[in-house]
Amino acid sequence: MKKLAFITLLISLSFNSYARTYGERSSDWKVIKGDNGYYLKKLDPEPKMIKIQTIGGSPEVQEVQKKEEAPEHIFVVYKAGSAGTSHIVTAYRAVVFHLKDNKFIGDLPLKYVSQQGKDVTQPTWKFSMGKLVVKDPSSGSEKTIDLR
Amino acid sequence: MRKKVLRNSIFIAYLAIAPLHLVHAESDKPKTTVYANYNDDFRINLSQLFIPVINSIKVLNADTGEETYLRAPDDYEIKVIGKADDMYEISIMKNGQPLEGNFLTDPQNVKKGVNWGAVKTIVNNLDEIRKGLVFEKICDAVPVVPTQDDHTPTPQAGRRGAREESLSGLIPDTYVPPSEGEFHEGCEVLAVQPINEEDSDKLTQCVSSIQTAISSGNRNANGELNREKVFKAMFSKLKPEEQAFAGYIFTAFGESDMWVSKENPEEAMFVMKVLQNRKRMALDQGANEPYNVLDVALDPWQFSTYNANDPNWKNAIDPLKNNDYSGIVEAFRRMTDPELSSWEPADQMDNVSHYRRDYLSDPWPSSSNQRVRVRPSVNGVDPRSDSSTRSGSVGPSGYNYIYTNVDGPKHWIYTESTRGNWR
Repeated sequence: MKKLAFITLLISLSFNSYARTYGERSSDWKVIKGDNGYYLKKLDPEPKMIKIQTIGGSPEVQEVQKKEEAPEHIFVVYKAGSAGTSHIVTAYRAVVFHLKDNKFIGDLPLKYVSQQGKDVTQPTWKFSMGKLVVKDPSSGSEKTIDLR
Repeated sequence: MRKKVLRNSIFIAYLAIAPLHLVHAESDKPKTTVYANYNDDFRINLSQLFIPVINSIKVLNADTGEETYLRAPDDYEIKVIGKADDMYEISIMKNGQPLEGNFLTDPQNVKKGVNWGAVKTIVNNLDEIRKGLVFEKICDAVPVVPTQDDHTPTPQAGRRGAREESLSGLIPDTYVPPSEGEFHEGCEVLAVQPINEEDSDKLTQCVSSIQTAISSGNRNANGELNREKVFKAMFSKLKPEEQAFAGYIFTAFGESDMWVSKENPEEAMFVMKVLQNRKRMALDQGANEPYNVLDVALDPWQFSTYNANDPNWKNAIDPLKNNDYSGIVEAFRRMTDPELSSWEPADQMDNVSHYRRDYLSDPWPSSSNQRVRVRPSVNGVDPRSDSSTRSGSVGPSGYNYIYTNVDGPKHWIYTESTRGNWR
């Protein structure tokens, strides 16, 4: 009986551990096209979804990043479309996700890439005191994310 | 509750008596329509009405990814506005007021949460409705007709006859703001549209007044305009009508070629048409008021003129450049008059949302969104054409490829969070 309880405990722990790490691979994420926008879906037994942005055209998941400054979070980087009339710029954004809490924290501008290789004003990311401050001069926006 | 039932009665009655009209509307504006089968013989278009929630249901706030409950006693109503994967996209009203944000829910929740009893009562009365007993009332209440933008002159603007001058010998700012609620000098003609040709000089004066207003006090030590301050001043110092006018004029000036003139303003008119379309698309998608053409124009990265490292926004806005705006002003004036701005193909032109220069690689693959390339004309002239307005030459800044459906049936997906924070 003790043996059975022990095995059950092991299986349970194993499943819990698996659930917490789900989302670390880019294949764990998928972009869903809705009638009114695009969504990032975590392919999980209990899926999570959040609306994501595009500046033009369909978004695509690129990679999942981890950062030393935020060890409990992952950053799901996605291509957030392209825009422009005489200068095409492709936007990349990152959805911040807290693995342990299985919770979305934010959706932030990450970088812009010029199709013609021109210099482009970039967002700045600054980690400090458990917070992440992102400033984006192209849109005049500033966003603070609490990472604790 | 009586109000709700009455409102829903009207909607359902409308569905019952005007099915052909609905089909037509759908073909004009493609989008997913979501139906619920009430019984084997009758289905209800859930995309058309708010239905009271009588059983608590779980919904997902798609802006945060968090789940929340719509509790039955809290007077919620929901409307299905689309589908995303296996979920419904819904709009929510609480106490008769729309809730901000984007929401998703499982179709099962719609089935179990809404007041089908109320719907049934309404459906039982359909026979009478079909007889036309409430026809007049329905007609008063239901059709939603897009209204002409009051102060947004219809799209398009002409191009500059740019005479760029050195910034040396800067003149001091001499801006005197108008009295509260008053227009800047010359801009009073924006109040009534269409704008007559005799008022063209006033429009030119308005451009100059606006330039002075938004550049005043917003230069750095070298005399150069500060982009963020100027963009913010466009909202803080201008009346809404002036904001829209500035959006049309400066965007068209920066985006169209130097051949635009008073006689040939078509390319500038085309840029204005795109601005006008995008504004309508954003409002259709729930952009929060106040939202006007200036918001569209200054949306980051969309119109390259306004990029931080692009000199065109300064060229367009700086009064010290002494540009010739006559072609752009004429384009704007024509756009305020439907008789002077007749577009073909009309159905496509109302949905044009994107264009790009021909020398750029195509950034919007067409495979997934059924993108359509459009070959337009305005008053019989191709606004992209070099041959009709430029004696056969090809402009150095290239030729525009023009599209609808870049973002699928919505053409251009408006997003609040990527919008500029200039207000």
